Amino acid sequence: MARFAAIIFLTIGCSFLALGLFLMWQRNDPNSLAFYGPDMVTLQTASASAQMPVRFSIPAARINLPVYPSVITEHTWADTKKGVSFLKTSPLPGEIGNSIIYGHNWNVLLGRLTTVKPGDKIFVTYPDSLKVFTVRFTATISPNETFILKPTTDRRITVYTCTGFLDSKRFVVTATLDEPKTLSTAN
Amino acid sequence: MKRSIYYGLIGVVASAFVAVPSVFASVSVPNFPSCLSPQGSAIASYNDGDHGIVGSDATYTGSDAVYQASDITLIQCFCSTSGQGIQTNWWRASSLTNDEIKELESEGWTYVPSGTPWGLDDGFYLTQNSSYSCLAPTPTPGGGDGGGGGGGGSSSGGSSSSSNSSSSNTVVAGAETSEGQILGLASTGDIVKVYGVFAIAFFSLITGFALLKRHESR
Repeated sequence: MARFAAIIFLTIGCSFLALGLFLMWQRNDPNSLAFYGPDMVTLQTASASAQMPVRFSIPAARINLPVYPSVITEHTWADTKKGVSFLKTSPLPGEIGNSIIYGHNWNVLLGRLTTVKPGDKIFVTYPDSLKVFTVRFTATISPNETFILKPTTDRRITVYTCTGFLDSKRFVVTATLDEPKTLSTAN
Repeated sequence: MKRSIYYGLIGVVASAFVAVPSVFASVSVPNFPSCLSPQGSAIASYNDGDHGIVGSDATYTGSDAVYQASDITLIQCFCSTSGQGIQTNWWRASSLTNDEIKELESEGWTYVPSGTPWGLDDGFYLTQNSSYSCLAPTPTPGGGDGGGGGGGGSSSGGSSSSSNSSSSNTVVAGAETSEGQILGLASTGDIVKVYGVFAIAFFSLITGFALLKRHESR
């Protein structure tokens, strides 16, 4: 009986160990994004609406990720493990107002957001244009400080991810639009 | 007899649960907006100059702006020339008792006897500082000292506001406009889950090996 129980516990232990290692790999290895297959969502987003942003990048922090639209349903934020989430009910990045972008703090996602400094550039790519933002502020706040979501009268994006002990805080970056640039679609 | 002791213990435990929260919930602190996304009307704005921060005797050089968020709350957003920001929450707490003020002081609030030296209305305030990072302001030629104090009151010095200022557009849009009240930010970290998985793995393996050893020793 003890031997049977031991085998059960060892099986459970090995299974959870494998799951833990998978979660660690998922958080840290850039190749893990390919685990979900080709980045079809970006293409689908682009074809569904030319107005939706498709790419989000902060070169200073080596962040370059696809953008996925998201919503809040019954106080629960939808999220993705394949890129950053753009809150669809906030204004499009580059429009007047406060655009909300968020993502997990994995190293392959927004884990390096905490290295972003005021003055750094943020690029939001649309199918036919590029919006360039300059970081104005960064701060560490509590999850209940929802004032960062408040509407604004400027063209602003607010980007945040988890930080702190046991992910108990949020690191927030706010940036305002520099100047609109248009990419050549002929290329 | 035993029953009375039992009920007595339950009563003591229950009163502890009732009494403890009531002590800590005696003072309700108002919500303050953030310098990351200031709300309210700007009552003072200086692009550069020397400024004071309550609770510190030092002089701070950089941009400074004060926003009236409500009748009793203001925020002062200072951004130094090196990009270090200090937000000061100003709470006109005239309705508080001395005990409540002492309790708040123990929680990190600073008592300011009068707002007048800071360019605010007379009356006492409670203030609290927090730090953030900001884009260092560019000094304007001939900008002068934008006004010594941190507060603004009715002052009108300075030219334009700092980098967090808004344009004159009237369209206001943000998450709250369509979401109603959002109770909290997204949970964008799952390190607790990872630790939990490893903890279960660890304890399962330890238990498994212990049972295996026990079985073999028989």
